[in-house]
Amino acid sequence: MKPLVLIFDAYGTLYDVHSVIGLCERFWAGKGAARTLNQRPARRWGKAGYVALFIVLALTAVQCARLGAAGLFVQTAQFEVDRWTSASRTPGMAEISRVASYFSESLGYVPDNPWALEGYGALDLARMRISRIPRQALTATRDAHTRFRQALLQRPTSPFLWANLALTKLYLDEIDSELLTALRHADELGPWEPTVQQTILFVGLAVWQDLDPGLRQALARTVERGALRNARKMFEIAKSYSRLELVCAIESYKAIGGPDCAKAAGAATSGESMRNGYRP
Amino acid sequence: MIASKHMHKAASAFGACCVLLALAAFSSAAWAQVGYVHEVSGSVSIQRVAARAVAAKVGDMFEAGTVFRTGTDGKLILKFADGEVVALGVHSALRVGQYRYVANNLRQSTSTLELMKGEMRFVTGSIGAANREGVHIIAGSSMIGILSPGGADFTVSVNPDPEEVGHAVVALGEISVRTPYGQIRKITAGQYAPWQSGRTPPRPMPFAAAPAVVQATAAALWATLLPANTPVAIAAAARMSAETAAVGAAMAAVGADTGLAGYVAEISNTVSIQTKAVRMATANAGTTFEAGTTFNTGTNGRVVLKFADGQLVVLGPGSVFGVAQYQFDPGNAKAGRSAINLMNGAMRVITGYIHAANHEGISISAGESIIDILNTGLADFAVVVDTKDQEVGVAAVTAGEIAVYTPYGLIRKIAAGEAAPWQSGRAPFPPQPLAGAPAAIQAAVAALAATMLPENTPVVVEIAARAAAAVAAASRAQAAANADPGNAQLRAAAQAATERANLATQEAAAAAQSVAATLFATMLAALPPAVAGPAQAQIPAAAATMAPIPPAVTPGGGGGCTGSKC
Repeated sequence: MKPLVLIFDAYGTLYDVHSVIGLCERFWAGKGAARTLNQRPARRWGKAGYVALFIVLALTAVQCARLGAAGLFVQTAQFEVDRWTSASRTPGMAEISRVASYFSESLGYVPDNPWALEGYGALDLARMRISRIPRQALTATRDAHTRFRQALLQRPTSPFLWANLALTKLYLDEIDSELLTALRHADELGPWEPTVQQTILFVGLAVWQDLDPGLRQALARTVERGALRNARKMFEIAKSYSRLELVCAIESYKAIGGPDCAKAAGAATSGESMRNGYRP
Repeated sequence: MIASKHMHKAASAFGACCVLLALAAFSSAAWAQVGYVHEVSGSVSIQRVAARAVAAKVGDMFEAGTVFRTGTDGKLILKFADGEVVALGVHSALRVGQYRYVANNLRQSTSTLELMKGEMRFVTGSIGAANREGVHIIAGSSMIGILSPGGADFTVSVNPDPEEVGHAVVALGEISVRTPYGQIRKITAGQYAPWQSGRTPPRPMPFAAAPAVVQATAAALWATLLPANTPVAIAAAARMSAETAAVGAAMAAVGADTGLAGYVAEISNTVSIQTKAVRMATANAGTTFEAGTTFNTGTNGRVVLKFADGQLVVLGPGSVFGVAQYQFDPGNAKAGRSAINLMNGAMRVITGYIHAANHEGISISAGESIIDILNTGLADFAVVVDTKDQEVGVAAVTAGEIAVYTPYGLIRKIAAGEAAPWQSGRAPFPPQPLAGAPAAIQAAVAALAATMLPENTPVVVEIAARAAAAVAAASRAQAAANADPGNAQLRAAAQAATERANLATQEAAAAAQSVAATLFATMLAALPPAVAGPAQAQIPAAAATMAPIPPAVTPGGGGGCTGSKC
């Protein structure tokens, strides 16, 4: 029987190719080699392939260079911001403007770079904090809000971004579903991140009246988790809100704020927290 | 009949007189001046009782019932007799209510203020400190009570239309607020509490959690430099404020930099001064000088010069001293320059702010020798040179370290507590402890060190010079009164001069504080926190008790996530 078509997986070794040619010769004498070779890509398409490949590689290189430059600018900016943070220093407007120019440069290369957008948003909040002109402060906060939202489109699973969005909404005095959603996502995505825990507690206590029982429970769990690695800072935040009853039931916090906790226990009155759905 | 008519007329006249006297007494009580306008900027109006609103100006005195309104760019600082201070923000209206200050009976003293709309910062005076129930602050329909015994410093903002919205931020002390929507029992230092219609006021929260607009508004009010909250004699303080404002306006008219380098802080015996403009004159306490001025202390004169940056120079008898170059701008301290030259005699130098900010900006010479300050902090040293024939000199250091380039060689380092002389014909002696130096050197240095000096902090020369002149005048008046104890006129003059001197000193201190605040603001950005000193002078530390939560960005940056969802 003479087969109509012979398909052979010749991918790989030289032996396999020769086997195919030999097999073809058996079925179609004198034509085996020609039939097999006909199936190889034509030489004239090889050049076009190389050109296409070159173009693809060139485009990739350009894109990589743009991403690299964008990353470099953000890295430089972030380095400066970290320096302020580690020194607990409030930057001046001139410094903020200089760092802002790095972020702008970065976004010029890659407009939706979430890293740059997030850093720029954080910088906007720093600008808000040192501003003494209400309109200017509000504009900076609005800019931060826009940038965090843009960054979230690219990086929706970052708890830091959600926490920053919640903080920004607090500064905008917009206590709405967006803020509460941001708080919830931050809690779900970064339950063990110390800075996320701090922000959740800070924002959560500021909007306590507007939290539903579920979020209050979530806040309570954040307080519990914070006791393990982050107790001192969490205690400070609760104390600044005069909400020591939220933390003093937990041993780690009690160890930190002994006298404060004792005083708070003496002054405890209404049981309001229980009524509002909080179970320590 | 005629007698009866006369009697009737006399009775009517007597009655009218009584009514007039009663009215006069009432009006003097009702319209007693309770405070004065300490500072004004932008559009601000003052409307006294039964009068039309007019533009407010610094030094205006006011009585109970006066209403102040600020425009969109207006700001105002009021000071009351008991020391209470109010800073009114933009687009605000404030009515001064009942005010009664009895210095020796604070329990009987009361103060009432009504913020009709807008924002204000309130700092209690002696009434609030001693009798907090006597202070009534009304903001819209809300009542603010002071809880802390020593008084309080807080800002309050209220917008009554269409329904009242407000907030209070406490910088020092504790307050309570009774709003139309509920009571806020206690707001402590560093806390913020808002209220608005339709909901119970939330618990106070840290200021760092306040909305951006509130933070900016309060920060602007805190950054305002306020006068001290100590009791004042209204008329004198108002006059002094008006004069200071006039000086400020004059300085602004001729440009921010008046070119004044410093002033004569203290003087004894005769010291002559030669400036570019004046050929030769006698210097007095309060005499100002600029670059190009030369001082000659004659045979027995002594003088203390204070420069704008706080640098002090004490000249002993027989000294000739020149200010070759001087430039100091608190807004750009790093660009400061000071070049001084002791041509002959004895001089003590205590460095000021230029040296602290720009070590290279200082140039000091004594005769042919050049003095280089080696340390960056405070330096306090004395130099004595005699240049009549071949230069002979000695330098002694009290604080810091200096090097001296003499015509005979370099003295590499004279440390604190050491002295080093130089003279022609031999290499300079190595520094030796001052205690072991020849008696003549010790005596010369001790004579310069014995002088009581002002602080080496920056000043506004014009205002500080006036204070120095006033203090010297008071001292003279007091001496005259002491010389003739029975002379009541001299005693009264001495007392008046002392009061003027006190006020002038207070004004100078306030102006110096403003220079310090400018310096801090410009230097904070450049200096590491350890040496930056206190932050903005007028921002109460308590307001920063809860540091804001800094946004923490996603760690790892763009690693693998840039441009794609991750």
